[in-house]
Amino acid sequence: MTRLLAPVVRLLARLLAPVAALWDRFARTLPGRVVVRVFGPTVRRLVSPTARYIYRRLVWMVFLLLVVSMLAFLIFYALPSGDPAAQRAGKGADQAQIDRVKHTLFLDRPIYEQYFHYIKQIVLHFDFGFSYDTNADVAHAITSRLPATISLAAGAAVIWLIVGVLIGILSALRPRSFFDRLVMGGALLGISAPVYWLALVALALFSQSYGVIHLIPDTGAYRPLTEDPGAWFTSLIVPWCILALSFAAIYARLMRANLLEVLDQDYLRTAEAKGLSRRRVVVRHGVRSAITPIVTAFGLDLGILLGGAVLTESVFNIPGIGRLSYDAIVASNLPVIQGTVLFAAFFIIAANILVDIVYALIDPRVRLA
Amino acid sequence: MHPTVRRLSALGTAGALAVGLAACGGGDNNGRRASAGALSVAAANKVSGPALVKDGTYYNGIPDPAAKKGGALKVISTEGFQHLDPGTAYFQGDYNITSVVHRQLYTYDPADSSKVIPDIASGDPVVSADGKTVTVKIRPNIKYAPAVGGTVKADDVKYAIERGKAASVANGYITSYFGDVVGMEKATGGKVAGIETPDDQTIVFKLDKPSGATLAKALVLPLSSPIPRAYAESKDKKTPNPFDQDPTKQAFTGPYMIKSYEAGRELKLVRNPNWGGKAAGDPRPAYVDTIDVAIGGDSSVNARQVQNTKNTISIDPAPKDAVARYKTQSPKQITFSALGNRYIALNTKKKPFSDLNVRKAAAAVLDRQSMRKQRGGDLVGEIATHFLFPGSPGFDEAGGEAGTGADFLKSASGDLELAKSYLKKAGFKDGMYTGPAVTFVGDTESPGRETTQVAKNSLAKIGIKVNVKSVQHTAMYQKFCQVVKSMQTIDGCPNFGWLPDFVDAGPMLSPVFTQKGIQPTNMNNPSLFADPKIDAEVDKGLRTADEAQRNQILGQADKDITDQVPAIPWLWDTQANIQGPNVHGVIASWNSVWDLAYTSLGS
Amino acid sequence: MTDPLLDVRDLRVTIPTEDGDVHAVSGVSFAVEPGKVLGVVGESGSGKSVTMLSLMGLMRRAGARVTGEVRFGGTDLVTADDRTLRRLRGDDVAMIFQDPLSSLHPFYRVGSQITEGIRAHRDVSRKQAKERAIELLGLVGIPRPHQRVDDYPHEFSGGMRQRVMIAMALANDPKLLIADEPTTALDVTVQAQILALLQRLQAELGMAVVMITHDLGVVAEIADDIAVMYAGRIVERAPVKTLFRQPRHPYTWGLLRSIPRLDLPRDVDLVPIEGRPPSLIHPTGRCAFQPRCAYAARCCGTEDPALTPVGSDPEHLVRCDMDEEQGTRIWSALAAGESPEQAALAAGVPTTGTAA
Repeated sequence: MTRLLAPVVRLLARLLAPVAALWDRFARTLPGRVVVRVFGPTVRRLVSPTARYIYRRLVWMVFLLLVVSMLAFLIFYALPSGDPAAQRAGKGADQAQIDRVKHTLFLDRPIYEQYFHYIKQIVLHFDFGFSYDTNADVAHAITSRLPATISLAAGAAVIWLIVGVLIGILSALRPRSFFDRLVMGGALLGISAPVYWLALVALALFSQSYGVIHLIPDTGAYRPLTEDPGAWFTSLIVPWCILALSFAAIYARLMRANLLEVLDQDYLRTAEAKGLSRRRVVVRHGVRSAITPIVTAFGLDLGILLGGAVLTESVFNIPGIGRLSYDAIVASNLPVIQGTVLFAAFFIIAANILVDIVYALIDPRVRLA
Repeated sequence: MHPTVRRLSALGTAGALAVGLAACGGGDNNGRRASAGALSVAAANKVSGPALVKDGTYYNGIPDPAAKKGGALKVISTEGFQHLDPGTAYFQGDYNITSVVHRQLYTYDPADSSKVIPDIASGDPVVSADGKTVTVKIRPNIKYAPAVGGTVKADDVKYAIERGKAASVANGYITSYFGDVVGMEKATGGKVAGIETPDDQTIVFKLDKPSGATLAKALVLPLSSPIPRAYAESKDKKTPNPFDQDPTKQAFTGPYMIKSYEAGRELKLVRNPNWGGKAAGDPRPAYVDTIDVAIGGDSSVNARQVQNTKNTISIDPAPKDAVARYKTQSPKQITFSALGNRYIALNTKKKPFSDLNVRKAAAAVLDRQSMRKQRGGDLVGEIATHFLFPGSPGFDEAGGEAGTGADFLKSASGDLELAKSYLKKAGFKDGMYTGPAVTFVGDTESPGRETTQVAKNSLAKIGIKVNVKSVQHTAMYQKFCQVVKSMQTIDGCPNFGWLPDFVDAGPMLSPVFTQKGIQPTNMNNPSLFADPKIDAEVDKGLRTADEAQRNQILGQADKDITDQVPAIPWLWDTQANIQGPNVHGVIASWNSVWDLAYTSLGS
Repeated sequence: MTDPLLDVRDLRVTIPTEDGDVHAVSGVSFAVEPGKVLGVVGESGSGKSVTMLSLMGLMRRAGARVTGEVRFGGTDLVTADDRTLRRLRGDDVAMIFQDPLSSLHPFYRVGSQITEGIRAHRDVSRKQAKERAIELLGLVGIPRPHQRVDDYPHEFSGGMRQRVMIAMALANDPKLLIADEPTTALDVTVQAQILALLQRLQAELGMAVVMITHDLGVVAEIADDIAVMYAGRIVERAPVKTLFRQPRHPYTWGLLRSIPRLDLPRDVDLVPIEGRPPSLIHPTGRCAFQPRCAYAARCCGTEDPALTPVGSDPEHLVRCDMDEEQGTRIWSALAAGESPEQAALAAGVPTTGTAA
């Protein structure tokens, strides 16, 4: 779901760019000029451009999150799904009963009032409401599942980054060699193999209860890192690898293509002409450049994954955000959908901002403004 | 019932719900919940009476007299639970838990689930001759778990039922079975005048209408699980309901209590030290010491792990692929139990299906065999010939598996000539329908979508063109088939089905084929079928306390309803239940799934 | 004549590609004496850059096969191992390239790019290296070198960037500087400045320079000798004055005619030589310039002409069979601004068809 959300959020950001332009226009009007005149110099004196940039992006993020939440609200109302109150009240419930449930669920108010109430509760109490399904507190459900999702995403990210980048470099250094052809062919497989299927195969081969070799714990063995680091690690190692596989494949191809392009650059020839060692030329000059776009992709992918890896979490029964959001969508469970969508959007937007900042740090040609 | 009801429940939920099963929220297509039964329930479980058969070295249902006490049972639940507050719980999966941590006024005889025995009650309910008063005496020595303490008093049961009307609890069946209690209709969680507690051991239900016999039967439902008014009243005013959000706070009376719960992740049960067992009138053995429920995962993977993991049991309906695997295995770790029915509801208030002969023609031509094939073939159940399903009281009386004798339901694959002859009777010469096309509202998801297609093709054979409007599963019920106004433009709802709330023929018929089932919204009678004669017949059955007579009357009502074809029954569902090695699983046939209070572990 | 600093003999470079072997350089010989400037001139694809890159060992990774002999300070660079070559690169031999923006690493400060080269060859501290970098930046005429040493390449103008490149090349006092089209990517005015700078530095530092260019005008001022390359070979070689006064090869004529000249009317076309360079994959075995040569009818046989001295001047070599007198006539006609057709006519050379 978060995979779908990412392009939506990006599109939103693009569509909403005119709003940012509006601010610029306002700044040119008389009252706008006054504001700028009065506060501008102070701000400029006190705050570095980077800090101002970050501040602006944070404001932008809050705005985007508001729009995302609003859209989620509207979509939920526009789509023909069940009536949560009727579902909650049960099959034999009469209208009076349904109305009472409606009232407790806040569903008898106009939509803007419901929305305002929702936002107010979040801002004032970090209260995302409660699940129609289990009455569970949504904020708790999400925050208590975050560690699992972070564990899964971060572990996989480390693997795919290291493996993908290394393979990409080795392939690029010997293009069209046997090794290159082998791993790039493998990468194609890795990209196209469905995660779900891979997971089932891995379990059929290695699971403790029914695998050919009893190597890995059964699904559902996940324990928080703080509780049982051993179980945490053993339960996650296969999910990490499986989740990392397709990413590693993509990153290897990306890294290979980038590095091949960079190796062709004039400045690589310059470095060589300086008499630098081959390793220094490749690593300090080549990889340093080739990895820059990877950093961008990596940040965004990680941001998306933090919104939940539905399939991997489901098959291996890792209690993360992905499974929660999937269940919520299937159940038309608005409060949980809202909560997970907002969290996912938060991660995606934050990743975007972070990537921009990091990009400016690693590429001196980029200025945050 | 919840939208997606993934875990649909055998009892608990009805109609729409049941159907949930049918389409089950998309469950089927992602393998998340596929109900499956390889054998007919009747064959596996001997139709009459309880579903108890010894099969292989494992015990498929029979409480094992030699079972050992102790051990830790691991339970796998792909879907998890919805509401664990016994006042709110309305699903098969939830009942698994509420039934072992609470006691109700009555429960099912472990040897024969068609028999109800006293649980908290000290004897059978006394229904007055006019059917307007039900008196229940309760045992004096039932204690709450330590956190709450004290003994169960009549007022605790009274309060448990009253809170069912509170918005935070919102019980789903209270209107259906307790709605006739004096003052219940207007109640919103406060005291209800019609529930009297003359002393701590006596509860008297006073009714406006003579429906006491049915109310007495409904006392097996978890709503009557006691909770002290003083302990719960202030908490029940909160939203969300604290007992549902944190079920460890509940007032446990059953053999187990909830130690911890993380919604969607895990549930842990431990023994309730204050449970009195047989001495306190609870016949359940409660063999295992602890029950750990792991929630989530993939149903297929879970089924495989259960098959090879000792001391593990699954409380989900087994997915299709697992059923095939478990079936060939010996000793058997699978058992099947009856669940409910499925039918195509026809709008009897709207042309052309307002004409009985057109309805009969439609039933006659319907290829029910192909419909079942689309759902998964004989693994999913038997082809239905009437509405009460195998194992339900009144099933035999209605004609059993042979059917009611209605000729239009004789052929499982459809009888074109017979259908044409009915259409001729309806005035269509040549036996081909020539009127305008009809509209069905069906499910967008598999397999409901496919079975609807089969129905459409069948009806086309007699010239009835069906326009199918496909909508999302829950919307199908709540925006269309359960709304009277919407039914003005709809001729049929092909993805319906029903499960009884408790073991009785009444809840299988009354809400779906009588005037009672028709209300502006949230109704369960999309056929809009109300025949005064049949209403009276069903009502009579509901008021009859004598079991044999009651089943006779309701069985006959099933026959009569079948003859009127307000809907075309096509499937009696079964649920496949699976367990791991070293588990002696026992089926709670009233719930169509394992009973954790009877299940034991081997060596 | 002193011992040459760089002595290239019969250098051949073959680059395997999917379409076949490209004979990028097929038998090039030349020498550069210490402190002298050699201009290597030719169109793109003539093999001039490949020659220079391959003698630095920079064509090895592309899989090029290099044969012949390249003597530099007693070492044969063709057979030398990577390590030896690496020691030479950036130390005794330095290079600067055409596009200073793409030739500088965008992510590193110019100072660190210079010091990196110093520290690769000299055991000096970071601080010393940085001081040297500042000194070099000053030497190449970059104002405020103390500050600019910490700037990134994109913060410099094009000309300043090329100065940085030059500073980087001079870091270790090279004996030989190879400048590969150092001014091509620059504005005309900046070109002149850079050329002047190179000329000044060459004179001050006394290093030898090989200046690669497609523009004879660029090397006219600075070079001592000029080698004209075409299709992977030297077609004419001469001291700069000789070449400008008495060019012998039709290709050189073409190059000379493409230099803007003040002594000719502005409407005289500067169109370079018509036609395109030949394929280097399948050499014909004949004079490679023949298909484009306006005077081929008179001179070309089936044989590939050898590089031979012009008359008695051992310093002027040309790869053309045309007889001397005819050549002189054609060139004087061309130099007077006539078209190749007119010139050929004047010299009595049929202008269409070939000798066959």
